Amino acid sequence: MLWKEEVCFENKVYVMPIIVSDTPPVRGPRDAKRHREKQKELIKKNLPHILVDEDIITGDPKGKKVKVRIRGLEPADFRHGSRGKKGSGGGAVGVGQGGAKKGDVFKKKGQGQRRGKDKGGAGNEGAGTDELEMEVPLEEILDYMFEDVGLPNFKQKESKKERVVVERIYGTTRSGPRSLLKRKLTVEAAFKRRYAIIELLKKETGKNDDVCLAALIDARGDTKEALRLLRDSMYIPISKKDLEYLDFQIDDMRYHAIEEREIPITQAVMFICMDVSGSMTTEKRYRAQSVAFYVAGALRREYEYLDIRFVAHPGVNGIETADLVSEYDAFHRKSDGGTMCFTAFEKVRDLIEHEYPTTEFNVYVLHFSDGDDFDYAMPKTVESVRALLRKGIAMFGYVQIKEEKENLPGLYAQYAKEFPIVAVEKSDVMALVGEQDFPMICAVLSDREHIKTVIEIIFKRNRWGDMQ
Amino acid sequence: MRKKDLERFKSLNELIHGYADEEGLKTKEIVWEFCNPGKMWEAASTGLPTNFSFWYHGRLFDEARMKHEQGMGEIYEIVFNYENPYALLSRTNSLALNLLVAAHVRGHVDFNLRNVFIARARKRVDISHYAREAAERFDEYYRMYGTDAVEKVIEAGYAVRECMSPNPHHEFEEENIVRQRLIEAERRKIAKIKEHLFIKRDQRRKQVEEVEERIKGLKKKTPPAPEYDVLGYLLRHSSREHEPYVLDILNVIYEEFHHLAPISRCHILNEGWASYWHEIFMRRLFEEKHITDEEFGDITSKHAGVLTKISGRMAGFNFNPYFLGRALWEDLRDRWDHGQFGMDYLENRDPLKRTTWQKSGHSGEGKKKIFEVSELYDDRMAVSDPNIFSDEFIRHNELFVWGSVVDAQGDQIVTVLEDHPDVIRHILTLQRTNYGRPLIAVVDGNYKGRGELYLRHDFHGTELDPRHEISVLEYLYFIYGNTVHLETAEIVERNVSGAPTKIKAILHTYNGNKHSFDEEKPQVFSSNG
Repeated sequence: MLWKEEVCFENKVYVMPIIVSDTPPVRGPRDAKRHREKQKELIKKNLPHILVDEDIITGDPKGKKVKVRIRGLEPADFRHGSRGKKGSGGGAVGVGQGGAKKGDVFKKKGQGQRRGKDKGGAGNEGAGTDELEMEVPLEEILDYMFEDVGLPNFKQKESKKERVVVERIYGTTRSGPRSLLKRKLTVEAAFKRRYAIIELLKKETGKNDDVCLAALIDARGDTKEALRLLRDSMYIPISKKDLEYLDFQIDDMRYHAIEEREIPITQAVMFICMDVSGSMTTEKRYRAQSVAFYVAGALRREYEYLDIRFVAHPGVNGIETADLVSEYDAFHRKSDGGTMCFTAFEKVRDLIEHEYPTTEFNVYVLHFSDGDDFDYAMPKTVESVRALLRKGIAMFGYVQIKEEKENLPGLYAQYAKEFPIVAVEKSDVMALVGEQDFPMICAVLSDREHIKTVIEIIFKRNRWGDMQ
Repeated sequence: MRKKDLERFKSLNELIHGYADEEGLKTKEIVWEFCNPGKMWEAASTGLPTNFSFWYHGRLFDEARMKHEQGMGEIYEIVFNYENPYALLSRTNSLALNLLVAAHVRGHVDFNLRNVFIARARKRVDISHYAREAAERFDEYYRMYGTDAVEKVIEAGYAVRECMSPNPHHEFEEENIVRQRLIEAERRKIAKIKEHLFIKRDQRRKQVEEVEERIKGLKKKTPPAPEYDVLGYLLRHSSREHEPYVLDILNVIYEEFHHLAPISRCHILNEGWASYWHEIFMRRLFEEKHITDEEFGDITSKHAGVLTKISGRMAGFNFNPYFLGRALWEDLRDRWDHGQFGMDYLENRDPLKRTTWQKSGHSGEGKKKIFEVSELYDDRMAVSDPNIFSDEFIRHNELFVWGSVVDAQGDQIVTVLEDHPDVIRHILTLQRTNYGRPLIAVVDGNYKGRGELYLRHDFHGTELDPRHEISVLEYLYFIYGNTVHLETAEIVERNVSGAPTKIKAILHTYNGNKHSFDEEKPQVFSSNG
């Protein structure tokens, strides 16, 4: 018998089973998450290059996605490539299929020229280098940007007029919308009422708990009907499975109570003083606009209400004036004539006195210029800045925008002499920061790529100690 | 997948199995798994159903997922080259599509069993268990040594895993054996010189001394002959005492790559083979009325979707390996059935005669031929053989060579350079030589007598990507633990068609802190390719 079985065993044809599985992938999503983490690190690292992108600061920032060109992450290995510069030697060669004839020339839309300097830099981060375009929400980029940004001289200044209504849950009430129902309390109330009725029925009829409960359920919560059933000698209590029934009356309902409170809001105003004289080229204005964009972005994150006013000097009516202008005009209008910076600051002082009292507003003043000021106007400028600071503004920032080859005259040097400000160490831009609590910052912006550094200098966390 | 569908799949699958047997395909019991698309993406991203975690696999996973979600592409099947073939199919696909895929899988299984290169890959190690166990060990390493440390080792392994011998039949040999063989060859040279009659005595002595000098050098030299298996060499000769987990990771990467690489070596032939057979089996299923008209319509549209001929002016400048491979097998079978082979056919340049060539008594030759080619050829051999990748075939399929340069605006200017079959075969061959990767060899493991590593890039007209090169040398330093040199070349001058005419040799050195580049004078470059 055994022998026979062995033969059967050997001749048996095993049919492999068909597996129908339903296991979700485990490692794939985990690895993908890690890859995205690494991509984010790369974006953070390339932030100075990404921030200069003109697409970011133009247009409506709400819900906007920014195209970010970063290197695709892949492990490095020996591969064929070109050592020379772009467009210099032979490029790729391949074999294609289809109706093309010898000598046909096509143009493939490429990456377009990169803005600013070439990213360069060897791939010693360990990863290879194929550029790919990613869409990242603007909010995310700003998050990275302001990750370690703090506000200088941030005081909770409250508006006397503007208030915001805040709703708060504070207790329980017996009426309200269904979405605010407190389930647990409602059920508890229903049970309490049920046992009270059962006690009553027991007293009236002298029957035990179970029978009373069954009768109550059979009567669908009606006490009189239950009493009638219990007194009926023909009555047979229902089976146990129906005992889960619980009836709710209007009296059992419990809801969250809502309290409305008015809270004063924190508010700030940012004055952007813009030099619109002929020497401010388009490139310089663009840099000013970028810095203003990010400063406004940071302030918007901290204050519930932020007003931005643009002051351009010289004004329309001659060089000794400054005008309130629109955002577009501030960065695009060109005006003839020399520069009188103090006119802008006087205008700002005027506005602070009449519209934005420093008791209610945190006032930030940001001045962009290429540093030119008439010699005889310089003392006036310094005096008007002093006057602003005496008003108790939160910060006076001055960004001198210059070309790389230009030397450094003008306001920057003047401020350095006149105010208690010291140079920032270990930075790739020249910058001066007020000593101790002195809320003044001066910086020189000579390259687009330094925009991020300038912002970081302006918003260094706890610059002037914990001011609250 | 519904139960009814599963039952139907089982019975029809058995029919396809029968057809495959009748056609003479090698069949084996296949383990079929119908799984979630997610599992397919995971398997496609790592090459194996379960493999170790690595962020690069995550990138591939995300790409597959995105393609699926945007309807840009879908993975229908993955066949794993195991002793018992294992096929993953998507649970969410229709029955008709899965039948097509099952027929396709039969083709792959036959090719994997038949082809000598893929068979070698299978025999290395039982990869399914090996990878699954490695994945568990790696998880433990991630926990014990931290993500960054483990990732660095994996990246280092990935940086050099593709440096392998260009000879697909390369077998590992002990260094001493190679050395002994080379020394003996040199000794035979001495004997020859001594036997030589017409040579002056002092000249003879000089020549003998030269050879003896070489023998002396060989006795100390490591490796005795240039070693193309760089990772294998590093694992044997690293001068750094690595922790066991580092060596384990590198070993796993080495083994897995040596299992997976040969499969990519036969991509065109393998996909073409599977497509060729699934078409035959599906047609037969329909003719024997096992599937409905509707199902067959579904199948044909899916078949057409996979096997589209890329055409049009800007269609990516590539070709579809499924289409081209299938066309190749069809063409091959047809030509051999008509007797269109042999010296008299090859030497006859009259196009009319060639196309109407008909020799009787050759029916059945075609099938023999395609089985022979699928057994012995890989892509590179097929595309370089004018007998197989014939002039008519190339013209029929409208292949052409394009070249591209990037202009100042960053746009790519693509020019159709050539449509001559010889050039196309040449370019395709170059692309497929050594998996399209540069050839790197360890020339000296004790450079300057200081235990430094000296690598040489065999320059055949294409430069190395410099940014990758820098990273790879750093990883090599990490594995090897001593200064690493790489000899490569830069093109100085090109002729009109872009071919290099002048090159200069570069010695790239990384000593753990600093990269330095020694450049030599430009030399005239002559390529024999």
